[in-house]
Amino acid sequence: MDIREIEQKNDEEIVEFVAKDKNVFGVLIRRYEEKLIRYVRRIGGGTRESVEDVVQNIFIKAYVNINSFKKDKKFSGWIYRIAHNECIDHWRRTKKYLANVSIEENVKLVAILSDNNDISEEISNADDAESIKMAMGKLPLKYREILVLRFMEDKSYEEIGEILKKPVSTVGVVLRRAKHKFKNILIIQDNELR
Amino acid sequence: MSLDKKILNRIKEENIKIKPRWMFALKDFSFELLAAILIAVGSVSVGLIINFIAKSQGKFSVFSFPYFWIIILAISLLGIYKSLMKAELFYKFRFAFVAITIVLVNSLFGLFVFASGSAEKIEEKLEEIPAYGKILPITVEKYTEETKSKQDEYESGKTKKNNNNNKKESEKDNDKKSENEDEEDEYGESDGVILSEGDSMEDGAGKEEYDEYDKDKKDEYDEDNEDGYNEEEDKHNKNEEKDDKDDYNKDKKYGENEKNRNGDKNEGENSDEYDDEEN
Repeated sequence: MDIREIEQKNDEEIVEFVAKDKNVFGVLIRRYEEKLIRYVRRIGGGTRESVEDVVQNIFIKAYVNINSFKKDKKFSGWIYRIAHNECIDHWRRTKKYLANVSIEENVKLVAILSDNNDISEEISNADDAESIKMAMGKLPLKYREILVLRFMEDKSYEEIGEILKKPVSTVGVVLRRAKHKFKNILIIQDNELR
Repeated sequence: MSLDKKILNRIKEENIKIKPRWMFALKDFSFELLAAILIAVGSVSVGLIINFIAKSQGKFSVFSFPYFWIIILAISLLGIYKSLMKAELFYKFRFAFVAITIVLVNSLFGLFVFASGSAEKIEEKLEEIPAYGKILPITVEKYTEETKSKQDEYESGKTKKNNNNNKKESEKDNDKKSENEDEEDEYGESDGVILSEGDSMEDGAGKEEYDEYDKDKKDEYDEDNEDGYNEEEDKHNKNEEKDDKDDYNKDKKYGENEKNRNGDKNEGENSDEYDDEEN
């Protein structure tokens, strides 16, 4: 089948052709490379090269394990799950705390969170993007990840549950805790600066 | 070079291959099988614990509780939860729900194992294994039975010991007595019937004393018999009795001689009468 024809198909259909032709996998890479680079950078930070390395590893793992993908599931959730695991592995290997999240990414997140009634006041009180970056850096990975998935990747609770392998109710609880934690960090930081 | 080309080149260069589908199926199946085996083990543990409680009729202490099976049950429950999560089953449900479900399933199967009598059979089979006896929980009934038998053994051992001690004591007494008898032979006097110089057989004083002595001996013999029959002692007593009679006869002859010396014939007749009585 011609690549152009395959490009018309959805992710789940394309997966079936990957085993027959390696090049078909390129279609999936092109569809997800930008999303995953952003996701990795938002969660783990790091330089462009290190982020690219992580993303390359994600795609290689996805290719090797393509047969474990179940047709009744969403490909997006499946590849994000691999990305989540790879980020954790990479983070453990390098043992660097996720403080190098780009200011640009943080500002975007803060802008989204500002619309949220729970923490809008604390965010508006925060002096600059730098203090928000510091607050994000202090946030544990599980809270940072869930905030990124919900507010930046626009994933539903069900999708987040699939990626993190948690029940939907737990996703809601963790999300609420993440916002509460972020708010507390911002208050503490504000008090320290004053 | 774009990322997709980099990745595809790496796949070709490193000859990275896709894992076959059966490997994932086998992995999922092995976790499901492990969960099933652990459910069976957990159910047997529950069945054996219920069996233990039923056998002991609620009479069990903290020390006699089957902790071995409780530990096995706890490990099984944890293993079931982990293997179900690894098999990507139940992850959509809350921990509390999954945990309660696992416990309920184990309890239900455990009740079935107990009710069907399989628990009893399993325990019988396990008891055949020597190593199991060391970790086997002891019911209160068993414990009391064992303690009773041990106590019985101990007591019987004590009785035997007592009997031996009695034997030794009686042997010592006999030795002492024989020593005394030897002394008596030397002086011509009996321990049982001592005739003072003034006494004579005519007034029957010697006979009374002999009877009293005889009675005392019998009482002693009866007392000894209460503790336990001693054949040797019995023989010894009989011999002693015989010796006493001989002594008595000796004394009698001595009395007669005395009488003859005094020249009293009537007294000799009386003594003959007494002699007849004795015979």
